[in-house]
Amino acid sequence: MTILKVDKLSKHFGGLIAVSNFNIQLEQGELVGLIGPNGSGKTTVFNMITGLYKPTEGRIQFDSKGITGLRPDRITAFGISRTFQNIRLFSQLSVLDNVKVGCHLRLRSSPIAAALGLPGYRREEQEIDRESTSLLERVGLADVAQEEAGGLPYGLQRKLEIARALATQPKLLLLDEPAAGMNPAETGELMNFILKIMEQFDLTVWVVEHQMRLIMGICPKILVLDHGVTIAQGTPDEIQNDPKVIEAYLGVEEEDA
Amino acid sequence: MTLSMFWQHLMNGISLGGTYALMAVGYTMVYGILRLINFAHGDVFMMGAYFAFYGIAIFALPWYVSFLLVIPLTAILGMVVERAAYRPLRDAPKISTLLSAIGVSMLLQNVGFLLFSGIAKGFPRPSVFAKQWSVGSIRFLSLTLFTIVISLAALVVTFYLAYRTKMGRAMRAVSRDIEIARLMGINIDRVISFTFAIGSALAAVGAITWSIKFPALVPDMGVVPGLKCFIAAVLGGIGSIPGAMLGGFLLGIGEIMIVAFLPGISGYKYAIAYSALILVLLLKPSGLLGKMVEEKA
Amino acid sequence: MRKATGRILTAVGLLIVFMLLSWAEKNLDPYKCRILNLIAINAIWAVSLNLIYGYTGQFSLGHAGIIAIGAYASSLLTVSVVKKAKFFMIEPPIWPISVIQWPFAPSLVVATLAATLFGFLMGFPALQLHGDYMAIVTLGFAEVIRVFIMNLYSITNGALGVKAVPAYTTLLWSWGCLAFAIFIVKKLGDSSYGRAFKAIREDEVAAETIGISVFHHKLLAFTIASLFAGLGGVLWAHLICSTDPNAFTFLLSYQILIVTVMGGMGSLTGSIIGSIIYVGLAELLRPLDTPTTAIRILGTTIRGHPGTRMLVISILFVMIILFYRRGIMGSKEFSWKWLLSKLQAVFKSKTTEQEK
Repeated sequence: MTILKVDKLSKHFGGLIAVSNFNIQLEQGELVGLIGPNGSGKTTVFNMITGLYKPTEGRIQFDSKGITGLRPDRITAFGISRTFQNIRLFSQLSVLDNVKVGCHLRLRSSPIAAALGLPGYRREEQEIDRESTSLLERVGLADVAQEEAGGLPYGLQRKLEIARALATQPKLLLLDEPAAGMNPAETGELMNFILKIMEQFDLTVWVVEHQMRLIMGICPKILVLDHGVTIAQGTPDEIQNDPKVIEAYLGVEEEDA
Repeated sequence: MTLSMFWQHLMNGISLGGTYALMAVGYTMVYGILRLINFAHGDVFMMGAYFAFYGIAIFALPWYVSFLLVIPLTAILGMVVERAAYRPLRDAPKISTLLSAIGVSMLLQNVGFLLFSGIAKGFPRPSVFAKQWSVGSIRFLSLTLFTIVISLAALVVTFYLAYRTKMGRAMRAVSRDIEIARLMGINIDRVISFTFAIGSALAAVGAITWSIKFPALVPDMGVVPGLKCFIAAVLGGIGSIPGAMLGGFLLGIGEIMIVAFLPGISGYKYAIAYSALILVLLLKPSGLLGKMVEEKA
Repeated sequence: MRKATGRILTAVGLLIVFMLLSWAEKNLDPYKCRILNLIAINAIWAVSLNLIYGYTGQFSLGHAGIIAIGAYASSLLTVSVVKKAKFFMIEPPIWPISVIQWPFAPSLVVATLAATLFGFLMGFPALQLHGDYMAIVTLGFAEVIRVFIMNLYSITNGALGVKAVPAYTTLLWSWGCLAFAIFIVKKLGDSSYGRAFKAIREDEVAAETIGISVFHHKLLAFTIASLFAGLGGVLWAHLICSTDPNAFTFLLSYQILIVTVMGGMGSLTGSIIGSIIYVGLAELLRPLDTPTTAIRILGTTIRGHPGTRMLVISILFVMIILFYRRGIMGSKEFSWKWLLSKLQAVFKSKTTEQEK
């Protein structure tokens, strides 16, 4: 079942064409990678899909509903969540609270009910606490639940950001360079983590990455972007042997033996 | 409303606008460099007016000497404020600098109340400014023409400094991108001090032109003009010096015209200016001549 | 320490405080009562600013305007019809102001709601901006409110102000409202909404991506805060028994800023502490303003002079911003657990000393 359909998506910043005629179709349960040299427009594509930028042209359909140009929080309510290249946690809040914030969009009680501590609200708050604690346990962050998010080591911060995104109960998860700044061991852990959560939470995942090992290692389908234009699409083998891709990168990174 | 009355009002508007333009340029220069609304600017203006007053009243200097001395004195005040209250907070969250600016503004007003008392002081009006002149059927006080000339002269000098000197170029570079400017070897501290000096000097000139027209000095005289001039700077495009000049003149002319043509609502002229500010900020934040940079995720 | 124990302690503490206040109302002289009332009112205003800035990270300088609405609305609703006819000298009061004369409770509710409405109206445009711009716009809005108050003689009596406002504010009312304000803001802050506010403060873009409708939440915080600002204004009008446009300048907004910064942005306990310190200082330093006070230093006499007091306070404020930005409490709150641990620490050090 097609979960995301993007047609002719473009973004112009004044005279600069950041993304041009981007198309993609994601089936439910897929794991897709998007690669490309720096500045090729990968994050811009994500930003358009999640509503941070308004596309100059093009249409985005999620779950058969048009979401082009909607506000980010509306898009998240539809079921798309993302993480950021430079981790954007709520640093002064606790780890648990970061995840709980992800549950806020499902809250039905009014602010008055919350301020007065009415039973309906108290029930929802308990539910949020249960869900968030369970989520932390499933991703392995239960020990640090009360720690300040900003004080966590980098690898755990990345996990927390993903956990927070999972709290919104997305159907599609966009990961923007999740392995940035990680050493090979951490990257390997992250690869397994992504596969695990895909299975546990029934997700479709789309990853933007620089680290070839991660992309080639887990993504059965990969798109390549260069200067805003899609230059290739295929399996890892096909991509690695595509002359256009090799040219764009001036030599794709060799796989570590 | 006769034609000559219209020209008279227009002249008054340009004269008032000149004063506003001077202050607006000060705001816009500081904002361009530090992204800070210098809340204390209006109070530096106030201090300039009082310096000029005391130069004549206590030190018995001839008015032209006092007026000239006030300019560097106020410039120094501006630099001191920057050094003491803004520079230490350069690395702190932006809101701290804003709080500091508010604190300095309050502080200067309170110093004013203490030293000068709340009772209005009468700014002297040298006789050369009080002459009645007429061109054709248009009658005006000589001070109206003089204030226009003085304001324009100061603005021309500022233009020259900003666009024709090395320091001016450095200033514009810093307002474009402070990090790159630093990497290019520009001494940021000096550029910032210079900016405050020029801005405060202009405020002093503005204070003189203002006080000749409105001779009652009180310690909070800088607050409303300060706010109005910030509005003018935003209208013209915050960060743009020509924009601030344009905004200042437009505001001055607009204010006089409203009082002249719509006397019923003249009590609300501040509300009108402020509403214009909100509209500009919401609909076209870059103002008339400015450019805005989009924030990237 | 279990939650229930904490709650019982709080309830007992509140009971004691209110018994003390009842006693104070009957036995202390009016001057001291006025000080205590001012502390409560300033604390309510600080709590209000804390909700906007400490929790949600939005910088508003428009409090004076909202407070003015609350103060004026309640004054106009409660002053006797006879007196109004007398002191509305420039223009007679319009209907229904000319015929209304309400008791305190309904007037308080209506005036507070009016202030809340104006808060909503102010917040709507202002919250679409950020940082410095929001500060200027809220400041300007408050000034516009003041301009309107000054010009609408038939409604507000303009620059003459409203006099003979009945003195309804008692210690129980002012501290009761403070307790209410703290209760609501604390509960809200600890709730999911509070987490949403803090998320917005930390990172607006991330908050929006997590599904929080940022503008609506900012407006929510701003409107609720305006409710309390207006409430404080009502209490204030009925304490000083008059209103006057010159009382609601930006100086009032700055004053609230001082209180909140001193106590610590983001701390409700800090709001109370900041208020005590500010009001206390303002009173203690009063002698500085009078020429009869004099001290001798190095053979010269330095006399008091009007304006010294505010100067000292503003110097203090700048010092705090420069060197002690986080204020006294930072963003921490008082809790029974903390008190217990401090007492245990003191007790422990005493026993180890005895053992030596």
